[in-house]
Amino acid sequence: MIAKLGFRNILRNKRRSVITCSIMGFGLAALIFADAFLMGLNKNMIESVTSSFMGDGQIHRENFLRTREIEKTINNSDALINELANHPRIEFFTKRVVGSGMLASPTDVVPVAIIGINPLDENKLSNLGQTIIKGAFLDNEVQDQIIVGEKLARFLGVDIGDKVVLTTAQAHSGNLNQELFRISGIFKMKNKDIDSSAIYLNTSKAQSLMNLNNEFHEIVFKFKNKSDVLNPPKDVLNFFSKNENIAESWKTLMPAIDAGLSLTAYSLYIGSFILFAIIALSTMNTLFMSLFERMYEFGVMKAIGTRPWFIFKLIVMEAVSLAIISIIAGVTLGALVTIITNQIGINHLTDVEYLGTTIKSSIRPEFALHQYVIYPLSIIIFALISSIYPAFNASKLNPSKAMKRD
Amino acid sequence: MLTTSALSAEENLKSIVDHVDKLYRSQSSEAEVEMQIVNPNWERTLRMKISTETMKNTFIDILYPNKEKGSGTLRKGSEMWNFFPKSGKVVKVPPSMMMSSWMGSDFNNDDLVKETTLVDNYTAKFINLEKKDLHTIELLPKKTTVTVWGKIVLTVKKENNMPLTQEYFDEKGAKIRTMYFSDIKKFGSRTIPSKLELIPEGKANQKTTIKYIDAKFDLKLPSDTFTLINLQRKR
Amino acid sequence: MIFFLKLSFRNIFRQKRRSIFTILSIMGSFVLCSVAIGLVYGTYGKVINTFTRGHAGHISIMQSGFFERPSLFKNVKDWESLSPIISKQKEVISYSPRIISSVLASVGDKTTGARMFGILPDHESKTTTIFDKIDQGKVIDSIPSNEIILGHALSKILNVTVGSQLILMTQAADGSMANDTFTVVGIFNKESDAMEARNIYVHLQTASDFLVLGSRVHEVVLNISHFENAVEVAEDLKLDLQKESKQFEVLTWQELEPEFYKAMKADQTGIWINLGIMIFIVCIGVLNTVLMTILERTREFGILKAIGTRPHDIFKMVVMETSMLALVSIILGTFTALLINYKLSQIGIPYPMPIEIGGMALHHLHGEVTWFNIWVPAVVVFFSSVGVSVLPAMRAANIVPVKAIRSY
Repeated sequence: MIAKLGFRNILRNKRRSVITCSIMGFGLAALIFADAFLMGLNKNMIESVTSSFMGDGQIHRENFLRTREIEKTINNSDALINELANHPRIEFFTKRVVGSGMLASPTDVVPVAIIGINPLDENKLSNLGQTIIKGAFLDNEVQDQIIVGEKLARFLGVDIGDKVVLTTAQAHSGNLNQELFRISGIFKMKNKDIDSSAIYLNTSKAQSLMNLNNEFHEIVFKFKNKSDVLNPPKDVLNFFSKNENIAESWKTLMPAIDAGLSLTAYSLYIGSFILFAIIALSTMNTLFMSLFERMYEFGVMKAIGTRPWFIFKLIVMEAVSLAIISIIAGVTLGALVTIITNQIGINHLTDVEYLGTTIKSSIRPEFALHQYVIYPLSIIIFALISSIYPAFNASKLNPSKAMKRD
Repeated sequence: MLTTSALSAEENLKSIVDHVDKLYRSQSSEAEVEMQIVNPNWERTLRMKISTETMKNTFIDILYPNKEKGSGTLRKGSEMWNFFPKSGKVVKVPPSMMMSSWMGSDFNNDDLVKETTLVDNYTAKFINLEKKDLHTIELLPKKTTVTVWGKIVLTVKKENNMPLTQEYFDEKGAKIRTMYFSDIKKFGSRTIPSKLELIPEGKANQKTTIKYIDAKFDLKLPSDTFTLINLQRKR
Repeated sequence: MIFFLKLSFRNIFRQKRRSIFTILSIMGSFVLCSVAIGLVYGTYGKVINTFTRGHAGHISIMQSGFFERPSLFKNVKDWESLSPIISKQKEVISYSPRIISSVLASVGDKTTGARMFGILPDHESKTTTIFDKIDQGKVIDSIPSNEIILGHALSKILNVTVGSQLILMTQAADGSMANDTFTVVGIFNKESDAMEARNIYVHLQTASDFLVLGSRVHEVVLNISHFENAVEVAEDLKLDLQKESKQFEVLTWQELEPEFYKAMKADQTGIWINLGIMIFIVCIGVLNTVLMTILERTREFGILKAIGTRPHDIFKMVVMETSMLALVSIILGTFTALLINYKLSQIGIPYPMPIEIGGMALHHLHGEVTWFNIWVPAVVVFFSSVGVSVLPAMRAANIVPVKAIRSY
C-alpha cells in the first residue's frame, strides 16, 4: 500500500519528479556509457598493438631476446609446432629467424637486423606487406630477394633491383657467410629503428645463410578468442614454456603498453568514481530540496494522524520509486547510446601510427553485465540512503510548525 | 693462323688476369707495410708487420705510431683477437667487426682476404684495343659471384704485365672507386707494384695508400706465429 | 539594478536551507570537476616527465643529421660556448652535455656491442633522472675516472658485477684504436632495460680522452620547466643557434621519443570523451539544482505577481539570484579545489600496484594546480546555471497568480 501511495505521490508532482529522475537517469546512462567506452578503448588499443608484427604472444628460447645469440634456437620445434597447430586456443602462428649482419652496397656498408619470414604467413599476422612503398613484398618462390626499410635504402643509396651483399656469422662456427641479394621491395613502417636497420628475407634463405638446419628463433602466435587477447591465459603460456623455451604474451613483451593501459584504466576508474560522486551530490540535493519543500504536506499528514514510521517509509519508498524509474530510463538511454556508438564507432581524434600499424580508428563501446547490474543498484541504494535524513526529519515533524506557511 | 692467334689471345687474357690475381697472394708471406689513411675527419699513417698463411690466417703487429706500438691482431679462420699493450689484455673480436672496413681504411675485409678471384668469378674481355701500351680488361661478375660490383675494369701495362689501375663500377655503370698501382719493386723472387692507392669516387679528401716497404713470399714462418701466445708476447 | 542586487541577496539569505543546498551542490560539482581535470593533466604530466627525464630529456641540441644517423663525427664543437644562448631561455632549468659512441665491451672471451655515454655527473643529475635507476653500486665520480655504470642486460651478457673490470674498444676520432680498462661501479635495475639495456655511462672527460674528441660532444640535453613548452623553446633555440652556425638541430622529446609520444596521443581521445561526459553530467546536475530551486518557489512568485510585480522584474530577479548563487559556489569552490588539487599534486592517489615506466615506478595519480582546471569548470557551471535559469525564470514571470498560489 505504501508502495502504491509512494508511486502516486511521484506522479502527482510531475515536474518535480521528472527533474529528480533526470539527474539519476542521465547519470546512470553516463556511467554505463563511460564504462562501455573504457572497455572499447582498452580493446582498441590492445588489438591495434597485437595486430602489428608483435602478435598476441611469442615463443623464444630462454635468454634469446637478451643475448641475441643465434645458436639459441627454439627447442623441440617439431613437437612444439604440432602442439601449436592442435591447440584449441591458438588461432594461428608463424616462425621467424632473427639474426644480425652487415649489408653492403657499392657505396656503403650498414649493420642490419636480419629477419627471416614466411611471406604468406606474415601477411596474416601483421601488415608489413601493406607498408611497402616501392616494389613488392617477398614472394615464397624467389629466394634471393630482400626488402629493406626506406631509410636503409637511402643510406645505402640503393633502389629496387639493385645488388647488395649480406654478410652474417654462421651459427656455431662463427664463420662469416656472404651472399648476394637483390632488393625487391622497400617498406616504410614509420618507426625510425625498423626503417633504418631491419631487412626481411625468406625463412629458408635466412636459415641457410646462418647455417641453421631447420631451426628458428621466434614463433609468433595469435589467440582464437578475443578475451584471450585482452587477458592472455597463463595456463596456455605455461604450457608452451618448456624445454628451455619461454612463451610470453604482449603484456611481458611490451610492458610499456601494459603500463599505459593500466594507467588509462585506473585514471578512468577514478574518473567514473568522481562522476558517481557528482551524480550522488546532485541527487541528494534534489531529493533533499523536494522533500523539504513538501514539509507543509507532511505537516498536514501528521496533523491528520499519520504515524511517523508511515511517513518515513513513504518518503523512502518515493525515493526508491523515483530511482527505479530513473534506472529504467537510464539503462535504456545508456544501452541506446552504446548500441549506436558501437555500430558507428568513435573515431580517434588523431590518427596515430604505432609499430607500423595505425591505431585502429574506431573505438567501439562494449556491453558488459556489470554495467547493467552494479551501477543501477548503486543508484537505488544511494537514493535510498539519501532519502533517510529528510524522511527522518519529516517523520519527526511538529505539524503546527510545518504548516506555518513560509 | 687465325684460330691459333684467337686461342692465344684468350689464353693470354686468362693468364694476365690470373697473374694479377696472384700478385699479392701466396702460401705464406711476411711484409712490412705502411698504410696512410686520409678522410674528411682525420689523417693517419700506420706502419705494420703483416704475416699471412694462405687466406685464412693473418697476424698484424703495429710498429708505428707510438701510441699503438705493440698492438696486435690475430685472425685465425673465422676468429679474430686484438691485443692492446696498454691493458695487456687480449680481446676477442666478434665476427661483425670483420665485416666492415679494415682498420678504418677504405679497404674492407673482403678486399684483403680475397675469397673471390678475378679469374674464377669474373668473365673477362679485352676492351679499348686501340691503346698500344695497355691491356684494358673488362671483368663482369658471373651470375653466382657474391659481390656488390657490377663491373671491374683492369688496365695492365703490356711491357711488364703489371696492373696500373683497377676501376670498380656499380651495376648502373657509375664508377665507385679506383685502385692505382705503382712503384714496381722486386721483393725476393717476386715483382709487384709496391704502392697501392684506393680512392673512392665522389668523396672529397678520401683515400687509402698502402706501401710495401719490404716483403717475403712463401717463406717458412715460425710455427707459433698464429697463436694467442704470440699475440700476447712483448714486442 | 542595485535594487535587484539587494533584493536577490536578501532572497538568498532568506531561504538559508535552500540556498545552502544549492550552493553546496553546485560547489560540489565544480570541485569534483576541477579535481578530475587536475588528476588527468597531473598524471599524464607525471608520466611524460618521468619518461622523458628518464633518458632523452625534454630537448636535445645536436649536430644536424646526428639523430637520423649517428656518427662520431657529427658533433657539437664547443658546447660551453652555447651556454649563454641556452641560458637566455628562461624555461631552461638545467642542461647536460653528452658524448655518444658505439663501443665494443669485452670481459674474458665475451665481447659484445654497447653504447657509451660520456656525461658530467653533476650536470646530468640535475637534468635527467638516470641515476635513480641504479640499484647496484653507486654513481660515477664527479672527477674524471675510469668508473662506469652499465645497463642491466649488458651486465648479464658480460657476466659482471660491481667491481668488475672490462675493456672498451672502438675507433677514436683520430682513427686510432681506442682501448682501455674500466671499472664497473654501478648497474641499472632490470626494469630500465627498455631504455638502458646496452648503455655504459662514463665521465665526459674520460670519454673525450678515450675518443680523442677534445671539446666536442654529441648532444646537449635540456631540462625545461614544463614539457608542454618544449616545442616553443626549441623553436626559439633554433633561431638563436642558427645565428651561430647552421649546423645545429634542436629536437623536442616528441621527436626524440616518437613511439612514446604516439602512445600518449592515442590516449587523448579517451581522456577527452570522459571529460566530456563529466562536463555533461555537471551541467545536468547544476540544471537539476537550479530548476528545483526555482520551481519550488512557484507560490512565492505567484504572490509577487499578485501584489503587482512586473513580469520582467521577476525574470531579472530570478536570473540574478541564480547568478549570485553560482558565483558564490564558484568562489568557494575555487578555494576548495585549489586546496585539494594542491594536496593531490603533492601526495596523489595511490595506485593499487605501482606502474613501471621505463624503469621508474609511478606510485600515485597526481593532481595539478593550473588555471585550466579552475576556469573550465567555472565556465561550465556558471553558464549552465544561468542558462538553465532563463526558461523557468520566464515561466515564473508569466505565472498566473491564482494558479501559483494554489500549488504547493
